[in-house]
Amino acid sequence: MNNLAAIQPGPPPEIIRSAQVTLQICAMTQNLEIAGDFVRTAAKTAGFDEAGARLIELALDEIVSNAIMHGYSVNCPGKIVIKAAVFDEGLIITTQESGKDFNPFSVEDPRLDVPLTERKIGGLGIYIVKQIMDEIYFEMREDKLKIFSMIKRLNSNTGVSDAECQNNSQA
Amino acid sequence: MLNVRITHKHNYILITLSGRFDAYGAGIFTGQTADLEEGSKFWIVDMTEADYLSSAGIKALLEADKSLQMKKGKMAVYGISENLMRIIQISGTKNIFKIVPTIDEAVKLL
Repeated sequence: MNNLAAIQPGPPPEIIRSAQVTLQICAMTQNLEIAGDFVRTAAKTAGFDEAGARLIELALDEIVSNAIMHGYSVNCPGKIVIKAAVFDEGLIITTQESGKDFNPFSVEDPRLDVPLTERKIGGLGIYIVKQIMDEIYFEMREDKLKIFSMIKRLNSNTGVSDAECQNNSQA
Repeated sequence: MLNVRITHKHNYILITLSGRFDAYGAGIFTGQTADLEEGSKFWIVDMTEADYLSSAGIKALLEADKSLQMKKGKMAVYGISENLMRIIQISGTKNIFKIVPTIDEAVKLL
């Protein structure tokens, strides 16, 4: 079975951060690459190897892509603030944006056992994030600011060892 | 950024992807392959030079595959690196794609 992290409400627990870097991007898919480079570098600083850093980049990409595609209209992009903080056990990534309301708790995991022609394709992004990250927190403030916080620990195997266990039927 | 190269072969269309297949790349892929079904409903996607993949890229491929299947066509994908295969595994879609190592095997699948 896969080890899926559940999305928990509220901010993450207080963690002493030894370093934090912040990137602000305009909510456009063209900026996914710079966001990815940013977080991959932070992940390596935190002690992750190339493969681990790539997975963390993917998790961030999924959250940011979601915000860009569903939260903002093409003609009126807002901004997304990404913070990457190093702590002694790993990395904390936070994203903040004020796009359209989005309830990640309502996103169902995709039905991967149904033939391709019979199902809607969706929910893959959040599913990927749940597989990669160890802890995920989401809060929506009264001023519509939506904050995702995700923790990846150096000693975690999530998203690597269990991936092979997927046993999906052929479409 | 994703680069999409399209080659019309005798009985299939070869789509060669290079670069970053993220949400930005997904828009480029979908835009450039929009009218291809009129040419052939059998596509082979070469991912040898694709070095990044997110769920948006996977979704774009699955949607193309689904659309072809609905019209009795087929899509096969080859040249996926170890890194990208890991992402496909994590997304749980590995067995949904027709993934093969080489173009020869892809041609046989069509």
